[in-house]
Amino acid sequence: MAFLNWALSGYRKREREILPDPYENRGKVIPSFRRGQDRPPTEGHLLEIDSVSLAFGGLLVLNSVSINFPPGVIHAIIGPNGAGKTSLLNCICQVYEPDQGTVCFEGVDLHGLRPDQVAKAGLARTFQQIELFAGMTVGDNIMLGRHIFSKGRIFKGGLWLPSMVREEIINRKMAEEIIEFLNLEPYRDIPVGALPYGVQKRVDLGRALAMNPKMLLLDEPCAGMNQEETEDMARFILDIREELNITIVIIEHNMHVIMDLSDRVSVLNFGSLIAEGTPQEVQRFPEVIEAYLGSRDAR
Amino acid sequence: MMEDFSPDQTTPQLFLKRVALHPDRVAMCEKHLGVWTEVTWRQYRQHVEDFALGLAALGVEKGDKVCIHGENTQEWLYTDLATQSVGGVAVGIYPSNPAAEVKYIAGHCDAKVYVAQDQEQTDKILQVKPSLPHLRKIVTWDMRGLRNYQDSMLISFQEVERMGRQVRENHPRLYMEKVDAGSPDDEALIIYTSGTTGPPKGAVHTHKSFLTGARALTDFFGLTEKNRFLSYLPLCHAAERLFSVYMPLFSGSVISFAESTQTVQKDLAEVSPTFIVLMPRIMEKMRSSIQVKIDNSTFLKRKLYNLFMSWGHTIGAKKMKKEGLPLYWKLGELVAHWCLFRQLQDKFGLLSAKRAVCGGAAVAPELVTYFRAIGVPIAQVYGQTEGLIIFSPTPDDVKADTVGRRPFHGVEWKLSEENEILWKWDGLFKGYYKDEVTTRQTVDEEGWLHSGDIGELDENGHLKIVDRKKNIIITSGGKNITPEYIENKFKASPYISDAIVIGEAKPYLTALIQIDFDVVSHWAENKRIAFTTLRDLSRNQAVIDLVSQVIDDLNKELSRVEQIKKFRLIDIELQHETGELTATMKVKRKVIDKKFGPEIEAMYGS
Repeated sequence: MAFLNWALSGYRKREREILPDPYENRGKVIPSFRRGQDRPPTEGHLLEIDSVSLAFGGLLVLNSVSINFPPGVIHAIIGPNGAGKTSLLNCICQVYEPDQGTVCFEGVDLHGLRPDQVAKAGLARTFQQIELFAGMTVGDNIMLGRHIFSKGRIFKGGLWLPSMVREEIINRKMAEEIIEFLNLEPYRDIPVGALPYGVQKRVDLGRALAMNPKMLLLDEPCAGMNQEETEDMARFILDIREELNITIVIIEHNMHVIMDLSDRVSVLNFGSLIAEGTPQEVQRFPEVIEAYLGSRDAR
Repeated sequence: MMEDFSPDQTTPQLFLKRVALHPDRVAMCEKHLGVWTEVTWRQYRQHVEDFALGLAALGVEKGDKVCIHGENTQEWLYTDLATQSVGGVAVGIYPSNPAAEVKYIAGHCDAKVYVAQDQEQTDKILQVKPSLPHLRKIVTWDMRGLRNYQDSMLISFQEVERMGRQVRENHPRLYMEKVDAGSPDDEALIIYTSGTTGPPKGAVHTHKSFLTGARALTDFFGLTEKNRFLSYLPLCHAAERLFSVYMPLFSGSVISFAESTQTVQKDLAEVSPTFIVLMPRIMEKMRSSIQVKIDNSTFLKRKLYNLFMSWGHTIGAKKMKKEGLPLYWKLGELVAHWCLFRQLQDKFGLLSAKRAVCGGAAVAPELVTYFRAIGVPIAQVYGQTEGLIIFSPTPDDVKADTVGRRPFHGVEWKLSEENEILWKWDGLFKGYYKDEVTTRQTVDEEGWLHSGDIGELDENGHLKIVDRKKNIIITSGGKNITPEYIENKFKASPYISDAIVIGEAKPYLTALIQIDFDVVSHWAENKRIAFTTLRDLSRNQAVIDLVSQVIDDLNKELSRVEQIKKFRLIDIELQHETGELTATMKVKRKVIDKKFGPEIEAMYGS
């Protein structure tokens, strides 16, 4: 018992040394997950997609798509069902290997990188269907996002060496910051499977944030949400861009969300890029109207 | 020593004495990144001083009003005491108040500085800013999302504190001078009553009146530095203000802030306060959460729960009547405590609660007996914003549906001929802000406060609060009915969360009933009834039959004129934001009458 107390007191002491005075950080966004903030704006594009094509057998899913993403914008990709939006995200993350074309992130070709290496480079994503560990708590799911940064292996971790203690404290602190940022406090210790859908989506976003990304790929973050949840999510997306200076690529079907949030919009239809511009510009393109509403002849 | 802590001084003067007594003890705890962090009295003072001088730099002078709009956090307390330190008047606003009410209150009190918690509250005040000519600055303590706001009025809390520190460097004695300049009879705060009828009224309290109320409570409950208290009810309400801000100045007890309104039950369990205030709604929630779990558990557990609960009720009743417990009951109490009650108390966070009080909307006696049965020494308190809290039963003389036999020390009280409760003492408010007429109607020439509450003495002299005077229903048959008494009977059923009795100038009584969604949805699942929402569930015939059964059973306990002849289920959630409830969760009858007019008409149709 005495030993345990002693060990715990050491832990707490270290915790005090590592963690800053909480009051100092009130009302400010805490620097530890604000990687982009202190970086000077990069010249050129953060992510460049150059004539990417992808085919499944005889089906051409992406047909020579080229899009450039400058840093600090919210860039929406829209299009009817089956237009190839999620496939494009998967090509960016190297889940699919494009048949042709290159995907460059900060000037580095991502070709051949494993998904975890892509994540480490600063690209994080959320999923259309929630891909969380339903049996794990909200806190643990977010902590999982920190896994790519863990230097510990089974022995270091098992022995609970000082370096691991330090790492654990820093990771937990960051997870807690994200929980605070996304207002997840009431659900911290609840298994994700028991939570409402809208909250699960937020946890998914939190896990992506935990990877400390420079760019976030959001695959339909507002799908299946009610009005209130959608408004909350839109607020969080804006906050992420404003406060954390993370560039955001968003796929979404809710046009109100797209029109209100995004700076630029790219429209895909049958695997081809048919329009690009500001939300107002894109709305006027005849091809876009046709893709969404059908052609005059068909009506 | 205790003379130093008399109510005959200003709040900041008392605060400085408390700080000097033990600067390094913990004053409050707040959860930060999931860890409880502590603030000592010395730090507390530092922040109050910085912010007070910052306010002075912003031009806040004696008598100026400062609005505070936000959830319970350290900054709320700093602002409250800082405002009073420079002679200002602190005005609390409920976090749930919509922009229209913000406009009314900030406009009515001529607010000079508006301190808001975060973007949500700041947006509300920015929206109505053009109609507030006296407003000079808007201070926000959580600046998240406000980075790109280009409003010259906007300033961060930390920035104001920094201004304060600068002022102190030039005038190190300024803060003390400001505090010393105050007098106990100065106006200290305005509390806007939630107003079940008409717009909110601002009750002005002086330092002396509010401290008198706090001192009486501290003495009555015997609070000391060893006490822990969880602050989770809105701080702009007089009761929570007394408990979280003023009583610690007398007692030195430690305040912990709930992390958010949704985590209160968890925070309670973590903090395990020694003194606690429970709202009837929280109590109902606690009880129904257990009920749902018990219904789900095994046969043996269910039987044991029911057995121990029946023991608990018997023992609780005996204790309240001050009857001695025979040996076998003492043994039974021991067994039930270790097998069940201790775990329940632990889950509710009431394990260390030496004293617990409930108030607000009158409490169903069944709830009090339930909590006393599981060993929580809960008792009702009675009071009013205008005259503060004056009644609570002594621990050895509790009767579930009454508020005790004698008021606190220094209170003179009586029942008027119409059985209205009147009282006078130093804790009475000064008057309604900018409303002489209503003030004169409320406090008569002899200084009696007319509470508007109807009281009743039972054979042993216990005071029972019957209802608000203006709520009394007179049926077309000429019978006087107290709706709250009937409503509380209904609310005691786990299936019903709210009931509104109707019948003014009508031949018989009817009721609008809201079902408890958690319990009834669980019941419906067991019965394999398909439903999607509250609306859907409320329209289900089986649910209507269930409520009808409950009402039939309860009607048997009521006299013939009090019985509910017809009812309708409300299929929306009653909320403050949509106007059906006041900020303190009381039903606004006028709004309900209007909103559910057709339903009410239908119940009286032929």
